[in-house]
Amino acid sequence: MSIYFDNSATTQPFPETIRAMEHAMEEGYYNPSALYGPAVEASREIARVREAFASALRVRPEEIYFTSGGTESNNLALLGYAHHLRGKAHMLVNPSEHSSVHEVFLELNRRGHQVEFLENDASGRVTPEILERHMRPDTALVSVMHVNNESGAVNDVETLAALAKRINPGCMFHSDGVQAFLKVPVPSFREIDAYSISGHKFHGPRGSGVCYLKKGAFVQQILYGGSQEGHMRPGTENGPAILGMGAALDRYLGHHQEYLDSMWAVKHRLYGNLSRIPGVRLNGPELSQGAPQILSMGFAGANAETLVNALAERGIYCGTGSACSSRAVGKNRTLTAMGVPAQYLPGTLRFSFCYNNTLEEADTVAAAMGEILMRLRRFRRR
Amino acid sequence: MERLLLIKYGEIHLKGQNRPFFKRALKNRLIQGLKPLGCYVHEQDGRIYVTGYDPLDEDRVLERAKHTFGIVGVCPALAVEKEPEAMYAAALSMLERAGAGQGDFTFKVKARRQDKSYPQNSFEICADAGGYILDRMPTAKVDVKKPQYTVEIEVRDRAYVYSHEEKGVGGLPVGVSGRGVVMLSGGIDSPVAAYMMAKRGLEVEAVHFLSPPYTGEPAKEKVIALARRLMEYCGPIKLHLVHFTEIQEQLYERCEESYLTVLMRRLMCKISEAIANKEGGQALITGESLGQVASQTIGALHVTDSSVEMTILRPLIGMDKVEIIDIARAIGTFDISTLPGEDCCTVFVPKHPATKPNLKRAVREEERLQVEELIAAALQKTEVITLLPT
Repeated sequence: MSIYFDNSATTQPFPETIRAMEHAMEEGYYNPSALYGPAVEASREIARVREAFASALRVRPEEIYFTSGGTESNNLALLGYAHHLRGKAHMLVNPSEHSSVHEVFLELNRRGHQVEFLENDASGRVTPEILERHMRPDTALVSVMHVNNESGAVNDVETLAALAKRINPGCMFHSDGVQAFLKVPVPSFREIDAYSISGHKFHGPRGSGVCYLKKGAFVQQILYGGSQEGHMRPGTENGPAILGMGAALDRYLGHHQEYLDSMWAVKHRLYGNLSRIPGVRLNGPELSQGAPQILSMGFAGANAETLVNALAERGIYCGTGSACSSRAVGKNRTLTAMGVPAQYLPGTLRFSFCYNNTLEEADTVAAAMGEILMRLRRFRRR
Repeated sequence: MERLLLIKYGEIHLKGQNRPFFKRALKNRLIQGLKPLGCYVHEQDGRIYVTGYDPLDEDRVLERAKHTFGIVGVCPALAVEKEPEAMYAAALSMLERAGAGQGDFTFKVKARRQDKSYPQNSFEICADAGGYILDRMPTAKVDVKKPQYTVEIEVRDRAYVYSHEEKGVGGLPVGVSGRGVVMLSGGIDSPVAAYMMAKRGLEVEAVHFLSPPYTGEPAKEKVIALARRLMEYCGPIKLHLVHFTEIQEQLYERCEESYLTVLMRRLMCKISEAIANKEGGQALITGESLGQVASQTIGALHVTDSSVEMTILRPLIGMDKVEIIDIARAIGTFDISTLPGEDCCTVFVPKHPATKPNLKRAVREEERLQVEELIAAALQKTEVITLLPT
């Protein structure tokens, strides 16, 4: 039996997800743009999922765009907005964004825009004070993620967006909600113009995602083709992925509090056990201030890759930093931005949970960590 | 009319009495690489022909043939009946395929008549074919001294027509020089070393040292990918994955720190030698280059050499890193070698490795370990993967 504590990398699809996808491929395979009955039914099914997301976010269905996932949603919102800008603009971005936001801003910088990185406080957050220091009346774009994928730090995006709009009512506020959706309360979208969601982070399929774009936001399409998704995202709708993600949303919402409680319990239990080991540090905000599914811990005198390998030998799977960047070389942006002390940097692990992780699993993992650290610290690199 | 490849081989011609042996080896290597693509390889009158492939696959077949050691050139050719019209039409189409005909160009026809029963001699074939082409390509001019294009017509059992030769990798057919075991780390150098010794006819087996949990699955995948890449040149490769963690941990606990690297090299050589002995190998191959790192000083190499009886081949010993990288890029291993994935050589690196290690001292340090037992245990835990072309 393996223990999967890497749910922020991806989650196992719900059986409901798989069944919905099977249905979409076996029976509902028609092109939703076609004119005959079954095709119209396929487009109705997609419309129902759109409404479900609109109601989960408390926005309008026409503000929900289906994409291939978080990366595309972030690119659509940010590049699509930059498309519309005339001249060089000032932009602000959180320094610990996921690569699919970070890299877009590096590209915007190459294109001549003036991109400025904000700072993080010691818990990994962008506070209103930080934003206020950098925000200018001509700042055109601000992007701050809702929940950080490595530390689990939760940004108060509602307040940040309102602050940005107060200083420049014409600016665009984008937030990457990939790790936040269904894990922390949905923000009010009064001041937030764009928000990204990824289906496979909540037991939906890979290749599914949502981009919320406020009606009237100046976002232009970045792909050209057909009239699907109101021209914003042309290409035949990915029916199986959309319906699979819809089914995952349904089930999640049906058990929402129960799932959250279970993740919180595992997180507290694992932290409680691990914090008894010497030379261990919690990265990110104080335990209950963070997201329920993410626990980032630094282990002095160990190397994260070695720890992951040693845990994997025992059938325990977790991440070093975030899976998307664990093979990338160089410094870890998130941990550096929040000033994690040097001795904990090489040995930081991210444990991330889902609804069906158990307290026993947390105990097993903590015990394994204790043994592994004991051995590795004996052979500490000189 | 049939498309085929005509293979030209080099140094084998020099090998006197051994020629049939070398030729057979080359043919077998070609068959090994090309059979999965549906090709037939046969030899006739001192030439090797590759036939039977789908013309749409020609580029892939050509690429593999070029990468077979022992081959100096590969000519995509057309085989036709020994009739003037068919031969000349083939010559014309080969010229067109080579890109002639867009604007003025010069060409010549070369003919060889191996079948002496054919009524025309080679001069007459050249003249007739040249005339045929001049009639049909108004921008063509004959230049026998420095032509832009040369079409060759060989009259044998059939007529073979070609206009263009692609350079092969040269060297000797893999296997004619025996068998060697390369210590494949996952870095840039060792795959190049394997390539270079295979080029001189050595059949290569690879040994890789794993140190779980310090090294993980990606490092293993990487070395498998490297071996796969090498297979295109070296033929099938047997990859031995040796578990090395316990040895490294003991080294670390019991031996002088500055000697860790050279002691590790000695143990790796001993294990590789044991594998080579079991597999009928006659030499070890490493990617060491003099002075590149502390374990590759002349003194350190001496200490390493003394750990085994077997010859250690170091084809990169006199090369600069940039030269090694050039070859790694050319053979396609560089991009794999530079993927992240820690290999066992970087685990437990001493801060200040001894650059002038002393042999007696090294042997004394080594005696703190139960070398025989450790090696036997490591060999027992060794995984073997055999990679075959597909």
